[in-house]
Amino acid sequence: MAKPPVGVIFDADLGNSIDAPLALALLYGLDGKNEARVVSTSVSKHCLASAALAEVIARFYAGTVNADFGSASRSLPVGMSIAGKSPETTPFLDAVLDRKNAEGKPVYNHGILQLNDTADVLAVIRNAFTSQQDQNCVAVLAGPATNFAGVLSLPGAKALIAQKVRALVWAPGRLGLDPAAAQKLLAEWPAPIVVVSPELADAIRFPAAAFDSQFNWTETHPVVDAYRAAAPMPYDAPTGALAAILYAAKPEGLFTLSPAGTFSLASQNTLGFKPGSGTHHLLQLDPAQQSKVLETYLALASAKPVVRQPRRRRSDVVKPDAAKTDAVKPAEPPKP
Amino acid sequence: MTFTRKALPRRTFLRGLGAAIAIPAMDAMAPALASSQLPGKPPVRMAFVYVPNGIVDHKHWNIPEGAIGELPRILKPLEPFKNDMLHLGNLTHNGGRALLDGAGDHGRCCGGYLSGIHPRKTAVDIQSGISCDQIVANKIGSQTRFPSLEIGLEDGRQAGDCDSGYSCAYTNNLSWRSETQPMPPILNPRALFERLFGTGQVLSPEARARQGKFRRSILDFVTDDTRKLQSDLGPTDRRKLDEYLSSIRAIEKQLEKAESDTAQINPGMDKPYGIPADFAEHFKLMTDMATVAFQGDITRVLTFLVTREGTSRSYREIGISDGHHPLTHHMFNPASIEKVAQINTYHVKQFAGWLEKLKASKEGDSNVLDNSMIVYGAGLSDGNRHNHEDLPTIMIGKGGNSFKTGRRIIYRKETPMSNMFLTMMDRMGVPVENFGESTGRLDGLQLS
Repeated sequence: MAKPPVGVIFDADLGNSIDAPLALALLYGLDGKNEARVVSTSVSKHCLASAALAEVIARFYAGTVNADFGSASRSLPVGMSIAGKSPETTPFLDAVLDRKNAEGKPVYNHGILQLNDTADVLAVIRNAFTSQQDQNCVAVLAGPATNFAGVLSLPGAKALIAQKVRALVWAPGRLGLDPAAAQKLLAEWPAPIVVVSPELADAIRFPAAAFDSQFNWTETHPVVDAYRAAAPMPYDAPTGALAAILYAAKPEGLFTLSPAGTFSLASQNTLGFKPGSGTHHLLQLDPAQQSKVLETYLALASAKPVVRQPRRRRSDVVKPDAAKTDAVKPAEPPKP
Repeated sequence: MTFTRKALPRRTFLRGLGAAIAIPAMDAMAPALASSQLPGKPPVRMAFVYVPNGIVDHKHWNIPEGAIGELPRILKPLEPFKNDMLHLGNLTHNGGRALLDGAGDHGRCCGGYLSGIHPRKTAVDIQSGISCDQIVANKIGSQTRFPSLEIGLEDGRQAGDCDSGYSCAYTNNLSWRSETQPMPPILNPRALFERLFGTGQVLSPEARARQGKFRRSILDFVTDDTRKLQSDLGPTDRRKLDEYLSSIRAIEKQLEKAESDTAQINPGMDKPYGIPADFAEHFKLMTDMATVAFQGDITRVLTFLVTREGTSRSYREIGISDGHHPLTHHMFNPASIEKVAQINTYHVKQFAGWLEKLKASKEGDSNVLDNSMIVYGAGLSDGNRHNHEDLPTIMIGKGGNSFKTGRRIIYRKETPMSNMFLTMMDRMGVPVENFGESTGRLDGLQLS
């Protein structure tokens, strides 16, 4: 039996940099086209607003988060670190979560109001790995390595990762928030690591103009609201996390890899790369593909949600006729 | 205060021909001229009571976070024990999920319930994991007559396929000595009685019938030891010993009645000899003996598989002739949901009867329940959905003045059940670094 599309286990310090929400939009776009599966989302910020944004985005693309994880018709809980790193909320988190409609009600609903509305992040990530076929998932990390490094300390985790995970694709940023975790990750991760180069992140910038041209099918898009609040508009944001997601789903044709080597923590905030033996690589831009990569970013990140019917046990189905609806249909975005 | 000439050893037995009855903690076990407090602290016990097929409709089970107020319908029988209760939310057993192995939630959820393991899908070469009760039993079991006891109420095969390719060993056992060795529960009250107080041999029905003509109480065989001991005890201890031996005699009488009833009611041996036809009576007999086992420090570790996971047992005694498992797949039929709620409540009611006995068993200034951790729960969350998160879990007892009870604690989603096992193993004096799916210990349980 053919394997399903690659599963993505996504972790980010969501709220600290706008490329992570854009990357989530891209990921759900890939999921909607059956080119990747969202397996789990988690945040390394010890901040309820950060977890809440992950849930808002998941709900926006409602339904796809149920794919291939756990039991039927269950939303995947958002894992959140409680390691105390980067606990502050940020303007773009607030902008999305505080946006109200004309009746004064939140435009974007979520269920994360207190700590136990989030999930034990180490369990979520580990459990996500367990649910995947061998070598059919990719761990994507945007920001500090707190959570993935934590998972490495769980018993049996390294063997599990070696069995299940093709690679870790990392758009490093804000390493100084948890240098020890970065060191541990680089030293102990038992699968290849692909690091998005800063040059690649800067070379292709997400054009602010796209929000007027390609996202104009809706007035209420949490990622658009986040983008507009993250910095004075117009600005074109770096795309490190988007590159990580796109490479995870489409490893051939758009990017190139450096020869193998080893990354290590060069300072509190930077990684150093030593070519030679090792299983680490630098993800680089193929100049010939630059415009195609940008087009792909724009097309996928601006895609409309595709709602999948949750998989249900037969006994869960109340009305037999209800199950005969199309398996996949476009969804209307939430009304403001 | 009681004065004794010399301290009685903590592990004192009344012995006689084919009989060895451990006696409960007594004042006389304290050193002479000491206070009436027991020597050191009473032992802490752990027990797991497992009910099958999940719990229907969690609105009848769940309660708001914080101090426990009114209990919902299914838990209503536990009203007298709500201040002894920790009602735990969001505990998850990931290993019970399919994880690419397809159908078989019943086999997985029970087969790995106490080990936090994803059992191998097989009907032949079974593999789960050593269960937490056995880890404790291995470590402290030498301090009691039996390292652990495994009991149950429903007969079942130990081999063959019981759930979509999963061996019956997974659905019919709770405790695992090793990855490949389950500990089958004792179902027959006579077998349990003789294990606790006798030679451990179970006689054939014919032999028992012959012996029955000359049946004497097991207490008759220990008369000499009893008399000697009584002469060394103060009035309080004498009364306690009398009560304890009376409870054993009461169990014997129940056993004799059950054996007589089953012989008369069902000579075709649909049920093994001595197993009461009535579910509640069977439950009571087994848990009465579990009480004595805890009281007499015969064991500190107990697992109780109330009925087999996935069971289709009916409950005609409460007017339900449909099978339990088919009812749980209720298709949202209100009548079916109601019946499952009645079964769930019926189980809890029997459980409450056991707790009453444990609470009435005094131990110094506390009681056996205070010094125990009794987990009651299911390996499936909702029997209709077959989900493995937010497993119905309550813990009764203070674990030896360790836990602040009377509270509902909702943990973070996906919090592994194994974290609870780690915390319980700590309390049993068997700390291990990690276990099963653990990501840490359960916080918030301890007295501050």
